[in-house]
Amino acid sequence: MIWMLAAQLLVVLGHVGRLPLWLLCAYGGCVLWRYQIYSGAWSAPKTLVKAGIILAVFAGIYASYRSLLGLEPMVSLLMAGFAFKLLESYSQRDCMRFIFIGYFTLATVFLFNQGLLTSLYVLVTLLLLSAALVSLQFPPHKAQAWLPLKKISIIFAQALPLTLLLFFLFPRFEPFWQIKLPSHQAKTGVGDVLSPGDISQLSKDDSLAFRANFVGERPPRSELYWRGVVLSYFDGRAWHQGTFQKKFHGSNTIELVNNNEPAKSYQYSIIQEPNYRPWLYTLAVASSKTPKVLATSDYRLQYREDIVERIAYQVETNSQAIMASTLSTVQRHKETLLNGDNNPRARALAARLYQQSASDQAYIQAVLNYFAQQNFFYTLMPPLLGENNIDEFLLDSRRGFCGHYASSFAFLIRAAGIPARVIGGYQGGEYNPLTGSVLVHQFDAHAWAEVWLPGKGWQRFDPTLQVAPDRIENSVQDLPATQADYLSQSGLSVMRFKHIAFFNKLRLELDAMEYRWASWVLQYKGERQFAFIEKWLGAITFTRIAFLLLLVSLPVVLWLLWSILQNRSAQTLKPQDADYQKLCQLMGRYDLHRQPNEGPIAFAQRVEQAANGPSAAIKQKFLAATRLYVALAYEPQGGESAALLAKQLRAELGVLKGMIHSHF
Amino acid sequence: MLQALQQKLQQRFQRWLARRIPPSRDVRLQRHNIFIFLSPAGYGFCGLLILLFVIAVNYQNNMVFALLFLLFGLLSVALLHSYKNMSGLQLSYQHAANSFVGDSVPVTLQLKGGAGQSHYGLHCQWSQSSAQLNVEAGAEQLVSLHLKAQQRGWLQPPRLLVESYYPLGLFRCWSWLAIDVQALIYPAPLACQLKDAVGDSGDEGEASTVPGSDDFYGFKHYQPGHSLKHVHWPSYAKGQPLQTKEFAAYSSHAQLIDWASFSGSNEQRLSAICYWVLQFSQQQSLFSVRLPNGHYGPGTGEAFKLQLLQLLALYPATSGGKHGH
Repeated sequence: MIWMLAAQLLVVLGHVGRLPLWLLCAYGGCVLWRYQIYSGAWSAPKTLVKAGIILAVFAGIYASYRSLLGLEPMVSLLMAGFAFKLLESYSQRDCMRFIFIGYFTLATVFLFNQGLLTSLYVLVTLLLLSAALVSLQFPPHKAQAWLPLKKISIIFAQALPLTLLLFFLFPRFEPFWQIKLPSHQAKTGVGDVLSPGDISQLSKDDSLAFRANFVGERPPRSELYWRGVVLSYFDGRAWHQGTFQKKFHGSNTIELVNNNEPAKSYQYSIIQEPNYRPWLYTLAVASSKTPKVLATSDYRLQYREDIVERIAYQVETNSQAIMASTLSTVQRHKETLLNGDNNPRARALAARLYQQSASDQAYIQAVLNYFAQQNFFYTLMPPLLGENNIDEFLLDSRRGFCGHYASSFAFLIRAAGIPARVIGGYQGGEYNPLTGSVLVHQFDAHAWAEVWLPGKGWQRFDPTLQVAPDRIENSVQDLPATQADYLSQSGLSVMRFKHIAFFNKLRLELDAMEYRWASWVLQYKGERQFAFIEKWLGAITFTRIAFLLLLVSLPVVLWLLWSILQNRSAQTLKPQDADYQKLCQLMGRYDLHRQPNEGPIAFAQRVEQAANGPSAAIKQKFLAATRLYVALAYEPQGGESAALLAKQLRAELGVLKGMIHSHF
Repeated sequence: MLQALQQKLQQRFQRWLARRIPPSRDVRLQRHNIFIFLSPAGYGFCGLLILLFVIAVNYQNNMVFALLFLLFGLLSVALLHSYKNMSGLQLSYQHAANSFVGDSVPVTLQLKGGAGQSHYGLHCQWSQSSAQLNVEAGAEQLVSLHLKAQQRGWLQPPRLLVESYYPLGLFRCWSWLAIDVQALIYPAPLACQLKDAVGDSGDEGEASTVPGSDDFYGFKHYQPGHSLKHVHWPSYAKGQPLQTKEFAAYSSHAQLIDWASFSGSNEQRLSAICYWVLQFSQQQSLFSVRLPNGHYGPGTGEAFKLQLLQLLALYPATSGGKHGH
């Protein structure tokens, strides 16, 4: 019972962040109730009470999630069942069911997190659950309290080779079916609506968004603009994702300018943390051959479905490719649309600046200069803005972060009839020298703009650079202007200790381990699996796999065989057999040895007839002892008589020993 | 039809079992007499594995796969452990008391752990009586089980079931053992009137030897049931067969228990005779018994009683027929 309680506690703790608080309280109540039943104070729940509890649980879960369908409600339901099963686990059968539910609940932890630490935690919990299973087969015994754990550890150690082998060899086929329950996990990362105020929320979040691993050359930090979402529809206040077409493959159109420079391309793989959206973040212009990764008409990559678990994909970026050398009239109209007559002061500003500029390019520069020269200030905590938010930002408050700058910049460009749009994504990232990967955190979220210029296609412009160039050179958290904001809200986090070298090293070390885990263990499927097997096995043939299977299971089988054989050879002798053997050894002094196939009587007769054997008295004694032995070993005896005969035999042996010793 | 088939299969199984595990006093559990299969909980566990497989494939979740493989490894290793837990266990018949039909016969078995191998969670079941026990490596342990004596003669026990679900409860490891039990079942005593015999030839007053009394009379070949206190060890040690000393008393009158004087079936008559043998022995009176196959006695005392009870127990069931003699 102790094992079961401990294991259950660990299983519940594994899910603790995902469960509503009342369910945790209910679990505590169950433990208390079980204890009271155990001590005899309370009685087990009656059928009616049970039915009430079940209804209450369903109602509670519906109230907490507004739905019963979904990953979290299902896990909560499972957890509730697991908690209440405690109240009716008395018989061994119930206890085993309880543990099986525990196994299943434990497996669902992996649907939310497959990290290294989580996996270790699950392993420990698994060990405890299985120890509970062993303890069910043991009659309770105080002296052997740790025996279940010891036993299960041995079993686990022996199961490990087979587990690893199966993990490496078992084909991870694509499912013929797929039902993914919608997750109620909050969507993280960049949103698909940019209305000032959104991104400041993101900047405080120091969790990992994704990591990129470059093969070969790595672009400089200032070039790391990870495009995620293209916001090309302006509704008068906020920027929204425009319409786009998804292709059936992952290759974006690559148009190269006709100069003689060799095409510059970067190869990298990205491990994307779940963001519960289909967006992938890549450097322009990206293509991918990974299945399910699709290219879009706005030069992005997008996943076929929402990313609910960590995925990996390969990318090739051609940084010199042009995005859309030509723009259709419809497209051009869409990309310059400002929807009505909002923000009149900003439009007037745009008209004034445009008039002063000689060309479109000069106008863009003038707008950038406007940001640089006017008294703009970068902050993560900007004031709230009224109806004409662009007006107010550009001409009154002048305080904001990338979202404000990008959206107002794009507005000013569009106001002059030049196609422009806002891009949401991440900028920069932290380079981890231990793994060679670039870590992009949520606080690296960024927004910038793209302007379409004839012949050059969509060009990137980052107005934030004019205001806070540090924002691009360093991470947002390192900015002096934002540090106070940042730290005041981030609470206790590892990032806080970034400036202490030791902690930083430890953090990077941990991350490196997590990275290897993710890339070697979690992504071990499909192509990677084949490649790995082929590397070690040469070719995937049936005989080789069978051989490997044999090789791995051989130690366990050998151990078993050995222990059985040892058992057989050590068949313990009965006392009378041992005594008789001693008797025969005594005869060995006269060079009389019993043959393996010689019966005791036959041997005794041979001793009797031996010419130069022992004296007649000894012969007589030996024969008598042999008879005793024969009676004991070959004739049915009651318990009492057997004991008496054995005693007699022992006495005879003693006498004979004495006689022979005196003889020599 | 189905029942007949079932019966036939059952018979077949019994014959196969008899060949595979022949009756013996001393059995060692090993490869040929251990059976092993999934327990109901084991089926449940397999169901769990299938469920986990569905989840792992559905979510393409490598860690759920890993968990699944680990649990599968656990299942496979548990099979070996389950087998190992049973193998090497030695069961030997110790003793059983002779009893009457209808009594429960206590049978003592000795369980002995194999070298370096403890046996946990053993469950012995012999008809209605059962015992739970652990046997440590190399240790000996006595277990007393009770069998219902149903038929006169040598006790013919059903097969003894020894099973264990250790270590994980996922496998049931069991054996059906035939234990050679040496126990005589006497007829159930049936109280009835003893009619005076017709023809007691009665050499009254003549001194006759009645085994079981005070004075040393002579030697007799040892037979199971004879008191060990009377075994003559010195002669035995000299190489002569085991002998018991016989004592004699003199008596003047012998009661006769005659088969012909009782009515009813053979079994009823035997029961009646048994009742009177017990009665006379308790009264320590001199008596003799006349059965269709011989005349026994006169005599008295414990040894004579046991001799007669054995005769009654082993009296052929068919001879004599319904009409008696």
